[in-house]
Amino acid sequence: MAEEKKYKTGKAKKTLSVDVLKYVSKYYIEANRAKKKGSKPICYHTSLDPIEIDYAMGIIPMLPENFAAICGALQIAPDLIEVAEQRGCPSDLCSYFKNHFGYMEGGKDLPSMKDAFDMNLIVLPDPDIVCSLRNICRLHPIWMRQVARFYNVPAFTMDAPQLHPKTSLSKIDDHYIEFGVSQLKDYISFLEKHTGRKFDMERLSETVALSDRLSKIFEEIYELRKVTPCPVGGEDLNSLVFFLVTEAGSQEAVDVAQGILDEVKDKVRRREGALPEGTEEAHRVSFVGIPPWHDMATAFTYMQKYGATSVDEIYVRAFSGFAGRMDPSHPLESLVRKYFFIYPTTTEQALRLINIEDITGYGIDGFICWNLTTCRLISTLIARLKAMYDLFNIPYVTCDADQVDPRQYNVEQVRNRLDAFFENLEE
Amino acid sequence: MYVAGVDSGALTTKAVILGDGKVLSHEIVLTGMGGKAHEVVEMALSKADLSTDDLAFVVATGYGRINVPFAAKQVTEITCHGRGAHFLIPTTRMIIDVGGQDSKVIRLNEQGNVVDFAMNDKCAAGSGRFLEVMANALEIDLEEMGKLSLRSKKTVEISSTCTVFAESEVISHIASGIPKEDIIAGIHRAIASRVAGLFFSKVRRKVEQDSVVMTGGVAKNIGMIKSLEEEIGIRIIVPPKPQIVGALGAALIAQEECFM
Repeated sequence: MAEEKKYKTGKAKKTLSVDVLKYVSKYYIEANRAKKKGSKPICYHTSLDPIEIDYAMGIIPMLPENFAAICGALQIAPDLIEVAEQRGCPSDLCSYFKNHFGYMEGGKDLPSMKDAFDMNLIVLPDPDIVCSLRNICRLHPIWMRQVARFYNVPAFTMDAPQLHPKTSLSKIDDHYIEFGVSQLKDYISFLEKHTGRKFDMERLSETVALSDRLSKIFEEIYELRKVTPCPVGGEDLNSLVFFLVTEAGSQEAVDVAQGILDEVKDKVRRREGALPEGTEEAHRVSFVGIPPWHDMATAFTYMQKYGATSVDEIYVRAFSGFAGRMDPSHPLESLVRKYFFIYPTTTEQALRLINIEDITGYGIDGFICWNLTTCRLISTLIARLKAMYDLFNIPYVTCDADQVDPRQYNVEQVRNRLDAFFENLEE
Repeated sequence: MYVAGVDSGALTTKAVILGDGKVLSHEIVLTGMGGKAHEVVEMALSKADLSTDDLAFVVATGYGRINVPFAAKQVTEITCHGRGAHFLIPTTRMIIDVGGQDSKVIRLNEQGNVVDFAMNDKCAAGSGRFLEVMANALEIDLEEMGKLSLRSKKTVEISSTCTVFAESEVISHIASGIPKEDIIAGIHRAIASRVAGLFFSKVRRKVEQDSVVMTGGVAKNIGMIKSLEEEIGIRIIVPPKPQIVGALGAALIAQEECFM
């Protein structure tokens, strides 16, 4: 008989028919198969790296952050994090990192891993190379260096410039773009050298076109969420982020996303909302931050009793590109625009514009901000956003949680805050 | 028509009985294991010569509100403290509530409706629990802390905001021979600075005199009030029974429900 889980948290009720875990599982199985056969190299990445280059060169990108989110959703992350802490990681260090570090340092062989991963199917294959772009998190390149040392594989770090705070996304100086392109070219040389694979610009144009198509489909889904009732909730959008994070540049991601778009369109035609049948949509909220993967039920399903649904998530949109359409005829420049100029390398001004558009277009009544115990980057973003909400007198509530570690989480306190927030909205 | 409000808090459970808009009785008991909601309502009813059959509506609030089966409605303590404080002191615009488990700042409009609120993060610093731990370390009763702190001649610095670290700091101050009153004053200031941070995060315009009210059990601590007033720079009004403001607010909501 399976051992009872130490941490009892919940899964959200999904509103779309797509089984994301099936695709996640398939991705991991294929990666492990390729690793075993030696047919394709595995490159570890941190999130928001230009993985379209990997797809163009027949390299499989694997993201330990995505893996950590899965571990969080399956509620096995605490066991891995405990291993990391036994190896000396402090409790307030990024839990995504600790999840992976614990996995490397012996957690992979824990009995709970074997149970939770259903016959050991979702297993991170060992990397052949590692890469990180220094665009969002200062821990990212250090993380990948640790991985490189552990597996004794080559590592590559790309740098991203910090733009002047007043810089507009539509007016980025050429020298910034040129710098980004030079970083990508160096990365391509690194891949050619260590994998023996030849880079082909035409093939990159194709993967960039696929990536752009994927982003465009997601943008169409975001637009359809402006409709009342909102056809799809945040519980689904956050799961779909897998395709944006891990499969940007693949045909499969485009095909799955197209199916989802068709389903959403159909729901809009039928005026079918994300809320359970019979529940009227009373409140539309925006979800700010990485969700607590270990308790999506509290993050999203709990608000349904107030007739509330999450109609927008900044976190998801961060992965489909803020900087506009990609141009397959200029693939490297497009990748620079997509990956190099995002929060926090880009401007506060742009961030403000993005959020004001959210409020007016989506009919958002308030924001639910998730202050992540072990992610200071997100907390800094939330502090900026709160100042803006105050300025425009927009209601918001802050919940304290960790993205994968339920030990850093008080569900009663979070629910109490959500109750108070919705009572306040109703008043 | 009689109604009741029950505030099931982390440390104490409170009940207020209202009859025709007037407070007939109230009662406070330690929450302990298993909750004391039924018991405290019975006690308050007994004081008012009433029985449960006389109650037209019961509203529960506080962390344990979901475990009050005889309540017809559950409302958060944010809304209830707002309603209760405005009933007692109609000039209330800002409420500071330091409870056993957390601290809150609530902003009201002229009608007493909650406009905005902020709560401390999930650590115990800035809560009544912090005071309890420190009282234990100092081997004094919680109730003594306020008066003792007023005798302080030199407030010591408690630099840590973590309850466990602050306790060690207090123990080392005791070992150094620093008078208890100076340590307690330092403890009050440490909490006050945390709560003041929350307070100023919700201030939108000049804070008027007589608009800041403190509720919750910690409001009975005169030393805490003094420290908070120093931090926020304005007089704080404390209702005669600050612990029952949440239960009173719940009873007022129960009364409104009867007229709906």
